[in-house]
Amino acid sequence: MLFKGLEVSQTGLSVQKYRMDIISSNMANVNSVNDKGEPYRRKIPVFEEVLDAQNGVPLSKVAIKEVVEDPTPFKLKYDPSNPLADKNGYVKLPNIDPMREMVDMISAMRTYEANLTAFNTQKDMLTKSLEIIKV
Amino acid sequence: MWDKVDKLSNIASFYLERTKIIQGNIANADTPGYKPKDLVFEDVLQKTIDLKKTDIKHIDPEEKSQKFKEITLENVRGYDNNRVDIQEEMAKLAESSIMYKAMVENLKKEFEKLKIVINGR
Repeated sequence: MLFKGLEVSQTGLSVQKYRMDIISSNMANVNSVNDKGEPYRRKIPVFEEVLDAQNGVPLSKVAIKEVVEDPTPFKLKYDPSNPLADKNGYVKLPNIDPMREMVDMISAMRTYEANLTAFNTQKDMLTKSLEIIKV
Repeated sequence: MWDKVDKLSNIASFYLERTKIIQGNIANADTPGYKPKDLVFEDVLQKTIDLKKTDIKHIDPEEKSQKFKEITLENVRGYDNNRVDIQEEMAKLAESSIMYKAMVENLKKEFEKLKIVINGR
């Protein structure tokens, strides 16, 4: 009960870390195809609230609900020498925009920092309450 | 003898709970459809501090309400229907934390006073 606040912020840190992993995976696969020759689809993590009621005070933890695939169409590039090119000479490339991934990455980092600040604040408060005993 | 200590610890625990709620809001800053929550202070104030109505404009201290009440704020922000304003949450977090520390300092002072009385110096 006492350390629930730390747990809440810790879930926040974990999901942002996971989001960062997904973004890294998107960035790394910017030119990838799978073993069937289809391009990699951009992955998006979806978060959900996990209610954890304690003595009538509802605490909202957070968790990964699912990882969905971005349904936007693949990018087409004219490259007739590519073995995966179709009859018109176009190759399908993953629907990943590195700029958008960078923006998402900064957003994830900032939210991670906010959670870290919240964690440290709660930790300071708990440490402070130990001072009562020193009187 | 413990009246003031009880009151102070009540207020301190209110701020501790409020911090946890705010941490939940920050953790859910990217959750689609999430609405931020908060705790309200008025009822704790009424129960812990003896309020006297000396002016017509004063709020009636007899109004009853629950000890910890959750309010769901209805901000309309964000494209994913998430209504957390991270700046506001950080400000509330700092406020809660400082108020908690102030209450703890007060509690320490209270115990120091009692100690002086017991030791007789």
